[in-house]
Amino acid sequence: MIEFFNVTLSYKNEFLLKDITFKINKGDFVYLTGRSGVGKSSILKLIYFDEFPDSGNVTVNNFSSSQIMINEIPVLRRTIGVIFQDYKLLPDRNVFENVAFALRVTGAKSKEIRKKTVRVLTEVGMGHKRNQYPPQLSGGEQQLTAIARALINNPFVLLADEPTGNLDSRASNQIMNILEKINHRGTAVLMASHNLNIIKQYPHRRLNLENGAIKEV
Amino acid sequence: MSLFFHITEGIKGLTKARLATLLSISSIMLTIILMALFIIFSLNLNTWINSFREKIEMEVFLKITVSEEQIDELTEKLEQIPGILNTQFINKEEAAKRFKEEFGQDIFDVLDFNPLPLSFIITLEDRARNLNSIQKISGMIENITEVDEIVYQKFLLETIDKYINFIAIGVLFVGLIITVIAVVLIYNTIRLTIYARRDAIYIMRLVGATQAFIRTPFIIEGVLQGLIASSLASVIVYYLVQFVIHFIYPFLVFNNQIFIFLISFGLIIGLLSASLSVAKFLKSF
Ligand SMILES: Nc1ncnc2c1ncn2[C@@H]1O[C@H](COP(=O)(O)OP(=O)(O)OP(=O)(O)O)[C@@H](O)[C@H]1O
Ligand SMILES: [Mg+2]
Repeated sequence: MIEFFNVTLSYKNEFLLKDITFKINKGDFVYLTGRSGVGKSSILKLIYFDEFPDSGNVTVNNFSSSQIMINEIPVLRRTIGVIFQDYKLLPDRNVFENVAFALRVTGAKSKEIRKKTVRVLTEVGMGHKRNQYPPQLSGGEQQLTAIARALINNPFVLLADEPTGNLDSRASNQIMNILEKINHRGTAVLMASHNLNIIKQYPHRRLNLENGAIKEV
Repeated sequence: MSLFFHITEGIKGLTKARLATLLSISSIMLTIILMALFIIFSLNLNTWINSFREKIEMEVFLKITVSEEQIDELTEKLEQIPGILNTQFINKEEAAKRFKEEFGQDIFDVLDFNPLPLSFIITLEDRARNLNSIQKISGMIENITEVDEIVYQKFLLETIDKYINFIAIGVLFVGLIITVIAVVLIYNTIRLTIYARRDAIYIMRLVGATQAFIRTPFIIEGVLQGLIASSLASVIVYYLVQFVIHFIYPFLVFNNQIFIFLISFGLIIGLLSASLSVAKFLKSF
């Protein structure tokens, strides 16, 4: 699944991650915690190969960071869903188009795009808002749209980088419920967060990052 | 389907950095017009210079001791020299006539005998109408013992050769500068559109769009910029040329192939600069 083996990462001669080793299995729900700037987002980037380790190895499914070819990276990314604190929706496209975008850019047929987009929007409860534009939506609704986009390619793992960071508790709970539902269906979830309330309320395995090292809590 | 996506995204890119695109297209259009005018100017200058070249001939004066019986043999010798198209023999009487035409005075008014030597006027092949070839030919003619002196317009030839080089260098230089300007302009607008669309690009990478898929719209956009600019430039140049021919200078030398050149230029420049920009400003993974 996802395996970090002695992973070291530095920016400008400064070590961020030192010799990190951990494993996330099929269907796991794992929190990634640690104070700001400790390298949580960097760990997620290593997983979708937006960053590469200085030494050590990241293995995701059958792809390894030391062996993957540049043209294989898109193939891998289609099996991973990613959501962010700031949603990263395209403001000039409506909800439907934002979600469909993930299929369009992988060259899917328009009939298939339509079918899958409608299905996934319904799943996250955004079907009725599919013609609205992101600026017209609440933060929670924008995150639901982002989740729909992340799920449309049926990923084996959903990487969530502080998904509730900009949301009030009601919207946060809505997002957490969706994430748990996705997880119950077999998709692994790796969620970076410093929201301890949420972590207490929805208890799962937790990896804490401190001084470049990772520890199970 | 996918091509349609690329083209609509490419056009979206054009409209996204609208001001930059507009400025880029109009500047490239202006530089291409300048280039076209320069090419037309050189074309005319070249034609004009070639009309001088056509007047170039050599005169070969024979020694006084040579008699007219030897002329057939000499003609044959001369016409064997590569670069010589044909020869025209000038006997004493004709030489006197030419003298009168040239100086307005009868040679017999000055002297009571005709001192003018026998001579040949030599017409050269087109490819030999330059200083280098003429010097070679002249050297070979000098080796003929009956020849006394060879006269040709050395100064005119030197001048022509100098200007031809000058024009060639000028065309190259101006072409280069204009190419660089156009490349920089397109390169920069593509950079701006990449910047303007960085969020969409990020999402595309995230959801697994291939590199080619992400890059194609920007390449199309660059090609469109180049093509639009060069097509507009062609239209304007066409009307300018018509105007000049009708109202100013009817002898303007002009070749329609210039339009094919301008449009290919726009296409290649667009392709090249967009590729450079994309290679520089888009992450490769
Ligand atoms: N591409 C980069 N170049 C240089 N430094 C970087 C880069 N990416 C991250 N960093 C630095 O690495 C450190 C960790 O960044 P990262 O985003 O992984 O932290 P984080 O744990 O996600 O923080 P937060 O909780 O604030 O999101 C930060 O100090 C950041 O400035
Ligand atoms: Mg972060």
